[in-house]
Amino acid sequence: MLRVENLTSGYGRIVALKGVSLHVNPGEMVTLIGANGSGKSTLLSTLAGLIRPMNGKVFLGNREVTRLSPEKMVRQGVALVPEGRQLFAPMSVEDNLILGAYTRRRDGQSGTLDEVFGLFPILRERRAQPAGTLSGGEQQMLAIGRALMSRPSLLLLDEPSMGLAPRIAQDIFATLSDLKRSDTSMLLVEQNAHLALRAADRGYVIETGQIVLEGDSESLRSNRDVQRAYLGRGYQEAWDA
Amino acid sequence: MRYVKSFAWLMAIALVATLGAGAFAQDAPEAEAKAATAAADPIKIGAVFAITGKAAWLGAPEANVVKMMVEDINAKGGIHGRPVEVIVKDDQADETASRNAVGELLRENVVAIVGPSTSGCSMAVAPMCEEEGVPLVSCAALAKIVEGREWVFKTPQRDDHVVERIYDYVKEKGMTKVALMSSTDGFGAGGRATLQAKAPEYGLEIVADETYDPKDTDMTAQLTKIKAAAPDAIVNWTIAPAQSIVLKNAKQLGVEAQIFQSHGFGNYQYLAAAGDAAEGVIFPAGRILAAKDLPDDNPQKALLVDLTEKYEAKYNDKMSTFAGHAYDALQLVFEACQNKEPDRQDIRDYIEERQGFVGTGGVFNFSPEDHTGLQKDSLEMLTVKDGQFTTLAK
Amino acid sequence: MGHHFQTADLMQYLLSGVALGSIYAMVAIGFNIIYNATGIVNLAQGEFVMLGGMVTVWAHNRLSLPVAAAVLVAVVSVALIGIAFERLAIRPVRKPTVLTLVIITIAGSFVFRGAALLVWGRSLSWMEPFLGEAPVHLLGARITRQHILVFFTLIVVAFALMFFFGYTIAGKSMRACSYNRTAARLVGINDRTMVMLAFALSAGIGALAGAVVVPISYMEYDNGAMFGLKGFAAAVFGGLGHNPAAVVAGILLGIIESLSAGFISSDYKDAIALGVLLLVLFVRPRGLFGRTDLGRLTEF
Repeated sequence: MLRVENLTSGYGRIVALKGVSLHVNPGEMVTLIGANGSGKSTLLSTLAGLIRPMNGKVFLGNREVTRLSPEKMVRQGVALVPEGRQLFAPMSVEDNLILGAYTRRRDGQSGTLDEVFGLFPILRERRAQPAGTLSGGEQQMLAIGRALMSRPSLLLLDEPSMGLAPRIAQDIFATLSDLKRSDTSMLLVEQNAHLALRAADRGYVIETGQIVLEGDSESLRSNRDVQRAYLGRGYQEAWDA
Repeated sequence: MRYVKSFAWLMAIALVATLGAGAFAQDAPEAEAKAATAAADPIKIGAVFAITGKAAWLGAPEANVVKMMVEDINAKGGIHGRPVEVIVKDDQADETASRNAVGELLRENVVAIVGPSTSGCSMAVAPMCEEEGVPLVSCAALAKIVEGREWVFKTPQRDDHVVERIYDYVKEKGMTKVALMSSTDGFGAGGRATLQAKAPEYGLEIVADETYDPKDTDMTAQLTKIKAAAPDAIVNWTIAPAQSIVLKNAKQLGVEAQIFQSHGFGNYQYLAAAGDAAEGVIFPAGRILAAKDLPDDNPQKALLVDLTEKYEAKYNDKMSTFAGHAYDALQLVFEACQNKEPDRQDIRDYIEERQGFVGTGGVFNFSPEDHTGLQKDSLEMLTVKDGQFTTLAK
Repeated sequence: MGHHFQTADLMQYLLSGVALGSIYAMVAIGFNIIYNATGIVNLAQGEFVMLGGMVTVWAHNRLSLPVAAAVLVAVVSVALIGIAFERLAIRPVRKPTVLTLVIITIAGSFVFRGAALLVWGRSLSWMEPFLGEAPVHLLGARITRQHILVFFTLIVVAFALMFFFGYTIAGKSMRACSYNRTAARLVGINDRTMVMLAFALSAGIGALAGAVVVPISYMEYDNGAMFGLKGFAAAVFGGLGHNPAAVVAGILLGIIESLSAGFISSDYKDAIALGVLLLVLFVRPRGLFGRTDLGRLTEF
């Protein structure tokens, strides 16, 4: 599905990603865990086309998509749910969703709209309300729903649980698991490694712009370094477990 | 750095575009005048006009008529066998530019300067000419330009004479209540002050006194107020297109008072723009606009008809009063050079003593006390009939 | 005399003010559209009005096109000029800052003015009113059909824009771009295209304003600055970026001008209008109806 080879990227002179290689298989949910400033968001922004990489290659299937603009990446089937949701706050929920289907504006999109409402029924109730007036969890649902409107084959999620109450974060992850069953591949960036590793099939650990560890979720969860650094266990506790 | 380039590129186009027309207008007379005078040591005369910029409609025809006169005189062999060179400068009606232009002309050792076109620029350069001892024949209206000065003359009719002619007429028709309208620029403000000052002398009551910006697009508010004051006459004083709009607005509101305009209305473009609304408006102006309607015994008629025909044939444009002012100014200098020596002192002395000079603005009688040379009879009361300027039937 | 005349005069001031203000409002809308799309104030907006008037007169008088066709020619050609301006002067800027872009629009206004000078010279452009000269009596006031037409043009433009921005996907995309440019790009909207569209729309509306006002005000190559200034005042008065507010603010500004000329003094009408504007901005820096502070300048 997605293959990233030796990707180097950053803002201006700051190199935030140093030769990252990873892949996402079709229908797979892959998570990327790392601390603040480790380069996770830079990776997603680069993949979505917001940042032009300095080096390296990105392939979708067999097609190289390394330096495409965000508009073109959407048309290639890659949709990013950005950090902080980035909704069109004064516009209605429905308009936000309709704009999500911008690249498909000439086809019918009402079917997709119904699917999104099926995933997040609360959005149907709020459809005429300005997006800015929704609660944090509803806004995150809308951000995901908007990205789904383009019918992506690969969904990039940047910190979907950020700032949400644990219950609501769990609801959202439950919906993401549902999505996985409908064959949408996902690359998920999370600080909450518990949630991420429980939902994902595989994961990568990124530190200061480089991949330091990879493996299936189970093995990462049982890795002591991961436990100590990202799962919030003290050194002794991890050792004892 | 690309934006710097694109910005510079834009600025360059802006410069070329705004200056382009001016440069052409400026260079043409200069270049051709020079071409004709290659042979002998030429007589150098300076000219400063607002050929481009906000008063271009004054300066452009002035530069045209000067070019035509230089060609003519050189075709006839020049003056005293010497060719004439007129160095024309464009001051864009800007006082600093005007001073710079005069400075350059002085360095060229010109024997006299005609212009500038506007009162402001004339006031700015008059002291320079006074100090240097160079005759300046201004083409601007303000009477103050020549007051107390030895070397400065002017050819247009004085604005206070224009006011007097209007008030003479108003009084003669038994009207007593007058409403004033004027633009807020120098021309309008000057006229307004004179209109206010002279009203009591004529026993006239000013019942309304309204102003507008020269770029305003609608004067119905001012006219509504004036209409409510029920004046017998309205005097509108401006040189802007606003004078056509005032006429249209007055017609729209059904204003019945007789409308007078200043001599600034003497421009066919504004007449055409006002259309039907201009019919019957009265304004004092030099006789040049109604040359054909003058009686045959008028001393100016032959000159006016001839000059108008030549000008209109050469430039395919209507003759303008302002071209006439420049004609008078340069003709005075030419005559002085012909009858005396092309020398600064001689030219000044000649003009100051000149009596009975038939010009486009009237018959000039200069004296040490009067450097304008014109009385108010140099103005003719004109009106608009069937879309044409014509003399007002007595 | 007396009371009846006073009421009729008041109506005259009000209606004159509405007609005057309708033009200001249309210019203000042009400012808003580009402001919303780019965060910059396009100081060449008045020049679009001037060009619209000039082209209409030229197409009608010189090419002998019927009025409607001449107006169409003006709107389309000035919209194309707006697109060209965006592509040639705004888009190539590598590191755009608000200040750089605003300065470029000033340079643009010089270019347009200079071009108009070269093409049409310094002469006055004018044409007959579209619906005849005869004034209409309305509520005791006398007003020309052209004045009424100017007002209706504003209303039609305002409703057309409400429909465009509220109900069409292109209009919604433009709004989306102004609310959140990154998010708009992420759903596949080409922000550059939206900016270009904004320039086209703005230029076209400016040209339409110029076309309907030219029989009333006439047009000279240097008239753009005045329209730009008054329109900008109306845009700020209403709250930059807010179109319905621009309609109200433009008309209010026209009425204030007209009433102060009528009841106070025509010497001070512009000063009074400006004073009211400053007062409003002092009390409400975001304008009469604005939601966002003027300090918010969206990044280009």
